[in-house]
Amino acid sequence: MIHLSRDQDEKAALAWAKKDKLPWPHIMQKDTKDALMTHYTRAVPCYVLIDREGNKLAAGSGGAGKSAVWSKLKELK
Amino acid sequence: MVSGETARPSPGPIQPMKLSARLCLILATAFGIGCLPARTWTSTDGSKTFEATFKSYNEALKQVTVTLPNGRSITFSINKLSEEDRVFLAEEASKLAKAGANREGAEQFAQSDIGKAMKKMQILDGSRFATHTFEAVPEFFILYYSASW
Repeated sequence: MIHLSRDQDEKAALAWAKKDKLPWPHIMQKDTKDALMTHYTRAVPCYVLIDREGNKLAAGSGGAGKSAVWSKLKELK
Repeated sequence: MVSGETARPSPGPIQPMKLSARLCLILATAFGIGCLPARTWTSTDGSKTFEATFKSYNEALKQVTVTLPNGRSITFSINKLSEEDRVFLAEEASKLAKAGANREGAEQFAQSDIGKAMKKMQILDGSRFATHTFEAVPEFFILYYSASW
Protein backbone atom coordinates (compact mmCIF):
# COMPACT_ATOMS: atom_id res chain seq x y z
CA MET A 1 0.00 0.00 0.00
CA ILE A 2 1.21 3.49 -0.84
CA HIS A 3 0.01 6.57 0.91
CA LEU A 4 -0.74 9.53 -1.34
CA SER A 5 -0.55 12.49 0.97
CA ARG A 6 -2.85 15.40 0.28
CA ASP A 7 -0.86 17.49 2.70
CA GLN A 8 0.58 20.63 1.16
CA ASP A 9 2.97 20.83 4.07
CA GLU A 10 5.47 17.99 4.16
CA LYS A 11 6.23 18.72 7.79
CA ALA A 12 2.61 18.07 8.69
CA ALA A 13 2.69 14.79 6.75
CA LEU A 14 5.88 13.76 8.50
CA ALA A 15 4.47 14.66 11.91
CA TRP A 16 1.40 12.53 11.25
CA ALA A 17 3.46 9.61 9.94
CA LYS A 18 5.63 9.73 13.05
CA LYS A 19 2.72 10.11 15.44
CA ASP A 20 0.80 7.13 14.02
CA LYS A 21 3.94 5.21 12.97
CA LEU A 22 2.65 4.76 9.43
CA PRO A 23 4.67 1.87 8.00
CA TRP A 24 3.92 2.25 4.31
CA PRO A 25 5.67 4.36 1.65
CA HIS A 26 4.40 7.89 1.09
CA ILE A 27 4.22 10.11 -1.94
CA MET A 28 3.81 13.80 -1.26
CA GLN A 29 1.41 15.95 -3.20
CA LYS A 30 4.19 18.30 -4.27
CA ASP A 31 6.07 15.39 -5.87
CA THR A 32 3.36 14.08 -8.15
CA LYS A 33 0.92 16.45 -9.73
CA ASP A 34 -1.09 14.25 -12.05
CA ALA A 35 -0.14 10.62 -12.52
CA LEU A 36 -1.30 9.41 -9.15
CA MET A 37 -2.57 12.31 -7.14
CA THR A 38 -5.63 13.31 -9.11
CA HIS A 39 -6.02 10.72 -11.86
CA TYR A 40 -7.94 8.16 -9.83
CA THR A 41 -9.76 10.20 -7.22
CA ARG A 42 -9.92 13.55 -5.52
CA ALA A 43 -11.66 12.17 -2.43
CA VAL A 44 -10.07 11.87 1.03
CA PRO A 45 -9.79 9.40 2.58
CA CYS A 46 -10.03 7.06 -0.36
CA TYR A 47 -8.65 3.66 -1.37
CA VAL A 48 -7.90 2.71 -4.97
CA LEU A 49 -6.63 -0.64 -6.21
CA ILE A 50 -4.62 -0.52 -9.43
CA ASP A 51 -2.49 -2.99 -11.35
CA ARG A 52 1.03 -2.22 -12.54
CA GLU A 53 -0.36 -1.00 -15.86
CA GLY A 54 -2.35 1.61 -13.97
CA ASN A 55 -5.78 0.08 -14.52
CA LYS A 56 -8.23 0.95 -11.76
CA LEU A 57 -9.67 -2.28 -10.36
CA ALA A 58 -11.58 -1.10 -7.32
CA ALA A 59 -12.05 2.10 -5.37
CA GLY A 60 -14.10 3.70 -2.66
CA SER A 61 -14.10 6.18 0.17
CA GLY A 62 -13.63 5.50 3.85
CA GLY A 63 -14.29 2.11 5.41
CA ALA A 64 -16.45 0.93 2.53
CA GLY A 65 -13.68 1.74 0.09
CA LYS A 66 -11.16 -0.13 2.17
CA SER A 67 -13.40 -3.21 2.23
CA ALA A 68 -14.04 -3.01 -1.50
CA VAL A 69 -10.35 -2.81 -2.31
CA TRP A 70 -9.32 -5.66 0.00
CA SER A 71 -12.15 -7.88 -1.29
CA LYS A 72 -11.06 -7.29 -4.87
CA LEU A 73 -7.44 -7.95 -4.01
CA LYS A 74 -8.32 -11.26 -2.34
CA GLU A 75 -10.36 -12.19 -5.41
CA LEU A 76 -7.43 -11.46 -7.70
CA LYS A 77 -4.84 -13.27 -5.61
CA MET B 1 29.95 -35.45 -22.74
CA VAL B 2 31.56 -37.59 -20.09
CA SER B 3 35.15 -38.55 -19.30
CA GLY B 4 36.80 -40.23 -22.22
CA GLU B 5 34.28 -38.96 -24.72
CA THR B 6 34.57 -36.11 -27.16
CA ALA B 7 31.88 -33.49 -27.12
CA ARG B 8 30.45 -32.65 -30.50
CA PRO B 9 27.94 -30.04 -31.49
CA SER B 10 24.75 -31.56 -32.83
CA PRO B 11 25.02 -32.31 -36.54
CA GLY B 12 22.86 -30.77 -39.20
CA PRO B 13 21.50 -27.28 -39.69
CA ILE B 14 20.54 -25.30 -36.66
CA GLN B 15 16.79 -25.29 -36.28
CA PRO B 16 14.99 -22.02 -35.61
CA MET B 17 14.83 -21.59 -31.89
CA LYS B 18 11.62 -20.94 -30.06
CA LEU B 19 11.31 -17.61 -28.27
CA SER B 20 11.78 -19.19 -24.86
CA ALA B 21 15.02 -20.79 -25.93
CA ARG B 22 16.28 -17.55 -27.42
CA LEU B 23 15.35 -15.81 -24.24
CA CYS B 24 17.28 -18.34 -22.21
CA LEU B 25 20.36 -17.85 -24.32
CA ILE B 26 20.15 -14.08 -24.19
CA LEU B 27 19.56 -14.12 -20.47
CA ALA B 28 22.34 -16.59 -19.88
CA THR B 29 24.67 -14.03 -21.37
CA ALA B 30 23.02 -11.01 -19.78
CA PHE B 31 23.02 -12.46 -16.30
CA GLY B 32 26.53 -13.83 -16.47
CA ILE B 33 25.58 -17.44 -15.95
CA GLY B 34 29.11 -18.35 -16.98
CA CYS B 35 30.16 -16.98 -13.59
CA LEU B 36 28.36 -19.79 -11.75
CA PRO B 37 30.73 -22.18 -9.94
CA ALA B 38 31.76 -25.40 -11.58
CA ARG B 39 29.66 -28.44 -10.76
CA THR B 40 29.92 -32.15 -11.28
CA TRP B 41 27.95 -33.50 -14.23
CA THR B 42 27.01 -37.16 -14.40
CA SER B 43 26.30 -39.44 -17.36
CA THR B 44 22.87 -40.97 -17.88
CA ASP B 45 23.88 -44.31 -16.35
CA GLY B 46 25.85 -42.65 -13.55
CA SER B 47 29.11 -44.34 -14.51
CA LYS B 48 31.03 -41.21 -15.57
CA THR B 49 31.40 -37.70 -14.26
CA PHE B 50 33.19 -34.49 -15.17
CA GLU B 51 33.60 -30.97 -13.81
CA ALA B 52 32.37 -27.99 -15.79
CA THR B 53 30.62 -24.68 -15.40
CA PHE B 54 27.12 -24.25 -16.75
CA LYS B 55 27.08 -21.65 -19.52
CA SER B 56 23.72 -21.87 -21.27
CA TYR B 57 20.83 -24.15 -22.09
CA ASN B 58 18.98 -24.32 -25.38
CA GLU B 59 15.57 -25.63 -24.43
CA ALA B 60 14.37 -26.02 -28.02
CA LEU B 61 17.30 -28.19 -29.05
CA LYS B 62 17.69 -29.79 -25.61
CA GLN B 63 21.36 -28.90 -25.62
CA VAL B 64 23.52 -27.57 -22.87
CA THR B 65 26.76 -25.63 -23.19
CA VAL B 66 29.31 -25.85 -20.43
CA THR B 67 32.82 -24.52 -19.92
CA LEU B 68 35.52 -27.00 -19.01
CA PRO B 69 38.32 -26.17 -16.52
CA ASN B 70 40.67 -25.57 -19.48
CA GLY B 71 38.36 -22.78 -20.69
CA ARG B 72 36.96 -24.66 -23.68
CA SER B 73 33.22 -24.56 -24.16
CA ILE B 74 31.36 -27.62 -25.36
CA THR B 75 27.77 -28.20 -26.37
CA PHE B 76 25.98 -31.52 -26.15
CA SER B 77 22.57 -33.12 -25.82
CA ILE B 78 21.06 -33.34 -22.36
CA ASN B 79 20.16 -36.94 -23.19
CA LYS B 80 23.71 -37.79 -22.15
CA LEU B 81 23.12 -36.40 -18.67
CA SER B 82 21.65 -37.86 -15.50
CA GLU B 83 18.15 -37.07 -14.33
CA GLU B 84 19.60 -34.86 -11.59
CA ASP B 85 21.49 -32.78 -14.14
CA ARG B 86 18.40 -32.41 -16.28
CA VAL B 87 16.43 -31.22 -13.28
CA PHE B 88 19.21 -28.70 -12.60
CA LEU B 89 18.97 -27.42 -16.17
CA ALA B 90 15.20 -27.12 -16.01
CA GLU B 91 15.49 -25.12 -12.79
CA GLU B 92 18.14 -22.82 -14.26
CA ALA B 93 16.01 -22.22 -17.36
CA SER B 94 13.03 -21.41 -15.16
CA LYS B 95 15.08 -18.98 -13.05
CA LEU B 96 16.39 -17.24 -16.15
CA ALA B 97 12.94 -16.90 -17.69
CA LYS B 98 11.52 -15.53 -14.43
CA ALA B 99 14.40 -13.12 -13.91
CA GLY B 100 14.02 -11.91 -17.46
CA ALA B 101 10.28 -11.37 -17.11
CA ASN B 102 10.73 -9.50 -13.84
CA ARG B 103 13.47 -7.35 -15.25
CA GLU B 104 11.51 -6.57 -18.40
CA GLY B 105 8.41 -5.77 -16.36
CA ALA B 106 10.37 -3.56 -13.98
CA GLU B 107 11.92 -1.61 -16.85
CA GLN B 108 8.53 -1.05 -18.47
CA PHE B 109 7.01 -0.04 -15.17
CA ALA B 110 9.82 2.44 -14.43
CA GLN B 111 9.04 4.23 -17.69
CA SER B 112 5.29 4.44 -17.08
CA ASP B 113 3.65 7.50 -15.53
CA ILE B 114 2.95 5.54 -12.37
CA GLY B 115 6.45 4.18 -12.23
CA LYS B 116 7.89 7.68 -12.60
CA ALA B 117 5.62 8.99 -9.85
CA MET B 118 6.64 6.15 -7.56
CA LYS B 119 10.26 7.17 -7.83
CA LYS B 120 9.21 9.91 -5.43
CA MET B 121 8.28 7.46 -2.67
CA GLN B 122 9.49 8.12 0.82
CA ILE B 123 9.22 6.08 3.97
CA LEU B 124 9.50 6.93 7.64
CA ASP B 125 13.05 6.38 8.81
CA GLY B 126 13.30 7.35 12.46
CA SER B 127 12.40 11.01 12.63
CA ARG B 128 12.63 11.81 8.94
CA PHE B 129 11.43 10.63 5.54
CA ALA B 130 13.91 8.64 3.46
CA THR B 131 13.80 7.67 -0.19
CA HIS B 132 12.09 4.34 -0.79
CA THR B 133 12.19 2.01 -3.79
CA PHE B 134 10.64 -1.35 -4.58
CA GLU B 135 12.90 -4.39 -4.60
CA ALA B 136 10.47 -5.91 -7.10
CA VAL B 137 7.50 -4.35 -8.82
CA PRO B 138 4.29 -5.54 -7.15
CA GLU B 139 1.49 -6.88 -9.30
CA PHE B 140 -1.07 -4.63 -7.61
CA PHE B 141 -1.00 -1.40 -5.61
CA ILE B 142 -3.40 -0.07 -3.04
CA LEU B 143 -3.31 3.70 -3.16
CA TYR B 144 -4.45 5.30 0.04
CA TYR B 145 -5.35 8.95 -0.37
CA SER B 146 -5.38 10.80 2.89
CA ALA B 147 -3.99 13.73 4.84
CA SER B 148 -3.09 14.74 8.34
CA TRP B 149 -5.98 17.20 8.57
